[in-house]
Amino acid sequence: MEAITVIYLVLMFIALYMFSFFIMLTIRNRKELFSYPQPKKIYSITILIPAYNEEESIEDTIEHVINLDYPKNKLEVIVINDGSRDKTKNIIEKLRKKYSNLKLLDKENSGKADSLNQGIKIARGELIAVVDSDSFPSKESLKKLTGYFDDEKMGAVTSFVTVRNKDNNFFAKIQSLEYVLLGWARKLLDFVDSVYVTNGPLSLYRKKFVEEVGGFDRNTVTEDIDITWNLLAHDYKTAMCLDAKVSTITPNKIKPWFRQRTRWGLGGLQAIFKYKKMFLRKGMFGAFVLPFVSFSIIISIIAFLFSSYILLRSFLTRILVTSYSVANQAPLIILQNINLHPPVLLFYLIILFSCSIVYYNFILYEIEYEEKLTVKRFFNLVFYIIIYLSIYPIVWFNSIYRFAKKDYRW
Amino acid sequence: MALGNKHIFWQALIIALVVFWTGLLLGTYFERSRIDQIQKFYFDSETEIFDLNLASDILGGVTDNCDLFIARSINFADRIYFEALKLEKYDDSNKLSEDAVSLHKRYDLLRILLWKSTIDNKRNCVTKINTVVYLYDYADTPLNKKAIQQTMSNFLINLKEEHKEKIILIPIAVDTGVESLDVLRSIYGLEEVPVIFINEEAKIESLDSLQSIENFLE
Repeated sequence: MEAITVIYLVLMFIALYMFSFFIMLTIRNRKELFSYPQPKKIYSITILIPAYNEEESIEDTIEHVINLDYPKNKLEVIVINDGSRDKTKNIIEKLRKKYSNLKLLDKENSGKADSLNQGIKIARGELIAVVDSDSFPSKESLKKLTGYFDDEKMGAVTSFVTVRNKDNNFFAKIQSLEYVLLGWARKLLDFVDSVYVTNGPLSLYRKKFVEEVGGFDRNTVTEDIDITWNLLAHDYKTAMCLDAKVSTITPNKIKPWFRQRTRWGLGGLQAIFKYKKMFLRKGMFGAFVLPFVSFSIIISIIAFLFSSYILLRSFLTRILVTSYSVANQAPLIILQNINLHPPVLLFYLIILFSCSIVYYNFILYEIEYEEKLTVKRFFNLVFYIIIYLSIYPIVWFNSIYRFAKKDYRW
Repeated sequence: MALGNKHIFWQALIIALVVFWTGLLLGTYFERSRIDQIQKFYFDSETEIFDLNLASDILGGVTDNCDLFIARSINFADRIYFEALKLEKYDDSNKLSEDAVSLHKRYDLLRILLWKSTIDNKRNCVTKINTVVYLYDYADTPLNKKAIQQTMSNFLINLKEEHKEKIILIPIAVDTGVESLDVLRSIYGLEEVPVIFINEEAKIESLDSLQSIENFLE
């Protein structure tokens, strides 16, 4: 058997395993996917909104946060102006006159992690909610997250992020599908105690535990991944509520998207290296979360290189044959060259692809992404699986390059 | 974590293993059935070449039967050409079993037998027939060589289409380990591959000379 066939078979087996794993988690926990525990008490919560040059969205975010369905006497909202150079501060000042429980922490620019840490210092809440300044929590979302904290070991609970600007263009639409599928997968991982990231748009933390683990790390570009891993490494629990929704604005264009994803990748790599000593130790974190995230990166890069090699080789051969044929008056293509016998092994790919389409449609139906299945949505899903996921490892290459160069700029 | 969820890790592994092995078994079975199909053709072709050679031996030197021999040789060459082409396509698609390689070697042997019998018959016959032997590498080759082989192959198929009754086209892979081919190659000095060898005289080793092939045909 050729080496390339062996690589293909290994990749297919891993894909089959992961697919079976998620399908089984779905089947076994279907009734509990959207459920959440009712809180035994009303927790005092401080919502922290770090903002840097967010004049376009900050007002809407604050309005959403202020109007959350949560007892007002138990809710404190602190907007941290991280040295914005636009009108962000003015907008917050204007809103402070309107809402008495809204506070402003104005400071020099020092990054998101430091802003959050400074916010925690003055926060009075038992729980800390972090809301990105371009995100908009749904009315009930915060309430649905609090019940998890009745578990004394619970360190952080995250929400389900949707894309607010999904109708802007095709690219945003594809990302909205991605967010739904990622959210779903994150919820499934919750059933095996492996929520590995508490997202920036809306996550709730137990203040005491965050302080105990040293707060948000200033040296990482994704403080949300780091704090989650830090809590897990300290044996605290993380969870996810699929019914607590928050919408966010995603990049509409390739360049900002690429920058954002590179940062996420870079943050992931920083976290892997920071916690590498816990590999295969420390309960589910070391036994599953760390290997799962690390191998996902490695596998996606191998799959990308593997398919690129095959495609590039075939493409170059065709180019050479064409140039030689033209130069020497040989036929470019002849009937006998057409092979109508596809490799049997391709069936693994076809089966996985078909099952993924069915499963993803099931997810979108359960999430109530859109009212009905349309040809357009089907096309978007196919595009997401075949094109988007195939080229995504390019982001990883850039992240790895920047990580190797220690270039940790945002 | 619920106990049921804890077991999902190994349960998913069992499911993946079952699906994976089922796929491998079905794939191997399917690939074998493709090769078996060609193998049936091969046995018929093998019988025919032995018959052709035996008849040639019995009637050795009798020039009255030349036309018949040549016509049968062309038909036979065409037949095994298309059978081997089908085999090559199956081989391109077959990734699990190695059966196609040994069958390919057998087809190469048939072609060498045909080449040798054509050389013998041409000595005794007045009727003109052109043997165009194309030697190439069967195994994975560097991109450039692969492209050159593909171009030569396309050119020869086109040539054969144009001169159906005048050419016996015999493509033979040089790297399947056939001893008799190595002997023939050393007799005719065919070290370079790919090479097109016309009427046991002219060698075309580069693409630049492709257009001159027709000058060597009788």
